[in-house]
Amino acid sequence: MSSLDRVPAPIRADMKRAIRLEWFNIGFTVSIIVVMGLVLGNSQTMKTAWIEDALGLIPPVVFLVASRFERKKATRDYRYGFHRVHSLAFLIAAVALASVGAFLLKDSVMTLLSREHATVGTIHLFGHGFWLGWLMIAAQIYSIIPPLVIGHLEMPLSERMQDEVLHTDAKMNKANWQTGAAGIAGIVGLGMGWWWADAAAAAFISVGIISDGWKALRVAAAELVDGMPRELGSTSLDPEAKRLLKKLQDQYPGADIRLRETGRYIHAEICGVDPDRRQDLEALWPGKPERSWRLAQLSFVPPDQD
Amino acid sequence: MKPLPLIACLGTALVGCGSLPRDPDGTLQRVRSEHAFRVGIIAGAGTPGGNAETAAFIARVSRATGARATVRDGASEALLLDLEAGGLDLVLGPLSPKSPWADEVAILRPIAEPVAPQHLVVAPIARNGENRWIMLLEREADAVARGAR
Repeated sequence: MSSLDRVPAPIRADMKRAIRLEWFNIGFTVSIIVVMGLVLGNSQTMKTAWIEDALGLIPPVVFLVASRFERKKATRDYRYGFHRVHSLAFLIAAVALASVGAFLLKDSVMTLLSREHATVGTIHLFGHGFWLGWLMIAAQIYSIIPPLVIGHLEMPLSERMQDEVLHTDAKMNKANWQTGAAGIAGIVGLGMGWWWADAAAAAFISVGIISDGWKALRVAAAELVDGMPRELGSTSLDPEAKRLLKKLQDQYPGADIRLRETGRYIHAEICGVDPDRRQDLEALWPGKPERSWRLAQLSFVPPDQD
Repeated sequence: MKPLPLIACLGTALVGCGSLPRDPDGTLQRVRSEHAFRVGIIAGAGTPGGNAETAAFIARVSRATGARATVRDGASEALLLDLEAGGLDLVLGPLSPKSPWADEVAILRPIAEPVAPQHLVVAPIARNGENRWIMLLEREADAVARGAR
């Protein structure tokens, strides 16, 4: 049995949409990397934005890999199945997001400290000399549009699917379009003679990206050490999980109730109680019935074996 | 940050950008208002009278800015330090793109190619970031290079 078997059809349709969206995301990101690479020049802002766009490939790639594994059934060597690949993918995406923020902050602070004045010269096109900054701005505008659209489409999907990797990718897309906007402000600022403008804008934006990346890292770490399920995109405990915990505590007073999250699913363990009857997972779910698929497993550990 | 207000701000900023780029230290503006610019020629690269391309280049920059060139020769290190400090507006001479100076100053497109053994190109060198001034120098360097071919 694969983890997806209990997932209702609308969520499975969302997953297919998310996979399609991530392929588009990869295609557009590669095209952005090529376009930006053609007009990099000497601008540090452009180089930074280019590296960030390249790092932006990590979340969609790990999402696609994790989704592929999620569809696989348990094997002889992996008897628990592959739920946890999603947790691993989330950690990788979180590291990528935090790295982008840290990289951007370091780069912009160094530029400000060294008072680096970027040289942006001319380029010859169609027999005329143009300031390369205009081409850089055009490339940055192109680099803003796909992540802006894709990120907005990903956010509601990630909420319905309870998908931290997709949610982190939506954040990465937000980071990318914001960096692109900072890049435009930077090139315009450079053109105005304000050498510090791009670095200051990038430093301001990097703080938000680092905060999102750090939050994602904390949640990913909590998931990997079997912490209580966390709310999507937040380090707070998941309200649905808290209600489930309360319900189980009421049903099994004195038992040690343990909840953990593997990818999008919740596993519950009742320790110190003999399994008295077969629980109906859907009936046990305290939240909206259409999200009851999140409770993937309920297991009992008898008192003498805890 | 919401995308729409940001895009509106950027759009407004771009509308007022007809005169871009400008020089952070106002080099071109100063050259035009003072009718003078200061040139350093790296020793061995030729003097305005002795090297046709260098002389043609300085003459073109003079015409384009309506300014008179004050030229002096010197060792590359001393001239580049002076350029970086704002004591010179332009240095002309051979400088390898692999030189440690390549990140500190803007080595522009060459106006002439000296002969072997070093295969160094004679190029205008400007202070980093003075982009309007650099655009003008690049335009005139291209014109000289086209004439030399």
